[in-house]
Amino acid sequence: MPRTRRRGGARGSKGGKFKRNQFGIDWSEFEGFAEELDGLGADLQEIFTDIMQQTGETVQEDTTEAMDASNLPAKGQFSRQKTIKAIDKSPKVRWSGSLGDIGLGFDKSKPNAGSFLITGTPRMQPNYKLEDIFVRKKYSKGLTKDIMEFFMAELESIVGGK
Amino acid sequence: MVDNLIELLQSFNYPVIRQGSLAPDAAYPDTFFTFWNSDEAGHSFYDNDTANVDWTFQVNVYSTDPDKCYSLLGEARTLLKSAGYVIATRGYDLQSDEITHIGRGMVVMYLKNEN
Repeated sequence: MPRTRRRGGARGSKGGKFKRNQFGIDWSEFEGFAEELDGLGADLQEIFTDIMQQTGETVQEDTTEAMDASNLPAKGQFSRQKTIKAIDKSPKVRWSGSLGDIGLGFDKSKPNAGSFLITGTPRMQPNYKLEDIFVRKKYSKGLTKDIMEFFMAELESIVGGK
Repeated sequence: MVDNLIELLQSFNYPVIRQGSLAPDAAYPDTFFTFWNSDEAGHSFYDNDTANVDWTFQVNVYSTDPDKCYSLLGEARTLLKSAGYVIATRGYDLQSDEITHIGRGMVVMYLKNEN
């Protein structure tokens, strides 16, 4: 596999094309590949959709874990579960041309205190676990690495099966 | 790095406190800064050691005066950028514990050479 292919276009929430609570892929860099794969009966967009869907589910599980009472202010004493209910349980991939993105974490259309917990307030420190997911680079770098490994494994199985 | 950030923000003559450190019964000052060190991650490595460290901070302004909130964050952005901080955003709204105050924040980064 040529090394240049490995650079890929997967970007975490720190990427410029995507919002903080989004994860996306720009597959225009893989276009040459797409034609070759088409010949093998594989659909690159479908592979990416599957990978991002799985990434969304991982983030959803980690966000739910971060909302454990022990991570909430006053150990969750005042939690009314609204924010936990606002975690996007079934994130969906949306495509716009070669850009695919998936919403991560909290569903912005529902009232919730997600961003409140991520940024903290003068009287409340940020939720460390949520910061890990949505602010620190290590987490999104890990997701990008997982995506690329998954992607390469998928390609190898397709090419190997030709 | 934290000391450097505090020193720069204090030059505006408003209180500077760590996010979450205000006592539950303490009143919000009329206008003030808060900061939070979100990350201090190794950026590059040489000879089995960290060569550069990526510092990431949240810098926030809370105020009873919305105009002040926006303008002060803008001034802080200009000052921090001139001191070598990298700031990609112009700011975002923050919720405050008090209905009398509004908040605006930004993420600022500094790439510090360890040698």
